[in-house]
Amino acid sequence: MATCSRCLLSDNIPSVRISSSGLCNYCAVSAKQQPGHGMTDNEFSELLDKYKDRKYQVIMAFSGGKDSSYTLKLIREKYNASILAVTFNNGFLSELSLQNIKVVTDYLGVDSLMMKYPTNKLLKAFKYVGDGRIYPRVSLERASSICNLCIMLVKNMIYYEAIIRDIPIICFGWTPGQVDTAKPLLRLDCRTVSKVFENVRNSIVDELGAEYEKYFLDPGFMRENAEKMPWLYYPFVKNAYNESLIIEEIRQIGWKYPENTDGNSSNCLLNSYANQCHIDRFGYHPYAFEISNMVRAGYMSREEGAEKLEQVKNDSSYEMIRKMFEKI
Amino acid sequence: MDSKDVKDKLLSFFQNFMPYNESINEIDGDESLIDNGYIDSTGLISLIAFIEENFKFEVFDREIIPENFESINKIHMYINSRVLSMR
Repeated sequence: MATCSRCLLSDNIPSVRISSSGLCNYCAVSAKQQPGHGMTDNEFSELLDKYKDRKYQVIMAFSGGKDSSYTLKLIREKYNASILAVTFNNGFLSELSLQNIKVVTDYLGVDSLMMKYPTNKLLKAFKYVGDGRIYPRVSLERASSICNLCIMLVKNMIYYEAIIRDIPIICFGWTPGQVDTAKPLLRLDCRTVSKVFENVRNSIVDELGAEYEKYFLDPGFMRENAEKMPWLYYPFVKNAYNESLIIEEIRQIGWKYPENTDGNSSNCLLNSYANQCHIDRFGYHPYAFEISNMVRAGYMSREEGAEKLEQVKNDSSYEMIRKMFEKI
Repeated sequence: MDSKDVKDKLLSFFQNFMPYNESINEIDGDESLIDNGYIDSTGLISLIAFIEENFKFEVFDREIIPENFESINKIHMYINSRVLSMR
């Protein structure tokens, strides 16, 4: 197995090729560097101003992890946005994460909601998607099958809540390694949004029953609300990202790092199991692409990236979740 | 930049994400990229970034619709039309 001399991607990932120079195909075409500190985000400010009379200008997908906690603080304090923080509780948020959600939203004076689907229903769905066959290969290169489903459910829930509550902007706590874009704001049309969820929605409903339909956006509902499609805001296109500084800043407002999650999640106990299953099945770390993107763009050193790639699971949470999946 | 240059550059985006043992030439230019799993929502956002960086124009939100982004041939036609309008 060969590893890229710059970003750590290895050629056991299907789309990765390492050339004789030692660089992978992703590094060969990328010259991007992170943005400078404190760039002005005029487009976002102007959009907030346009919707200043709304009850909420932004709906934030708030997991209680470090990145969404920092993002929430950033858009509240830097942009003075009126925000509704919505947490998708997948049933596996650590106790400390639930505390972090309360502490951070209380400190920032942000209204907060939690959406939770029955754990057993989610477990069945996570188990069904476990082998990854319903996902495109490109999706599995960026996240485990369990994470892919969880993220998809969050996106469906957030779009729905934004539309019915008339909130014009959606924000996620994506790191710069998770989304490759130079556009801080993007507004997709209703058909495109429906389309990207369609295959997974249909597979799950066919296999597990019509009771799962309500967890996905209905194309008819989307068409009826075509004019209400919200913008997606990516804060780290124009704002600096530094993991250590982020953690330091949110610690100052009472956020605490859970000890029972794995090294690549600061809120979810399921992640350990999801990571290990992905590695057992596909042979590479599901965070490899995110980490390599961060290294390539200079957000993380190669050594820091290598250290993260060694962190797969927290043994105790892995074992607990494994037993739960066995019972399904 | 002529239509062939546009196509070559566009295909290079997809080729970069193809498994080592597959070629972009195996994809039918008219087949749906999302339906057939060649691209997902994150990939679509990367594709837009790639187009803006490589073809030097802004992709407007109103243009991110299936009529322009459903298949390789549709994306090719969309980029061609934008490149032509810049001349």
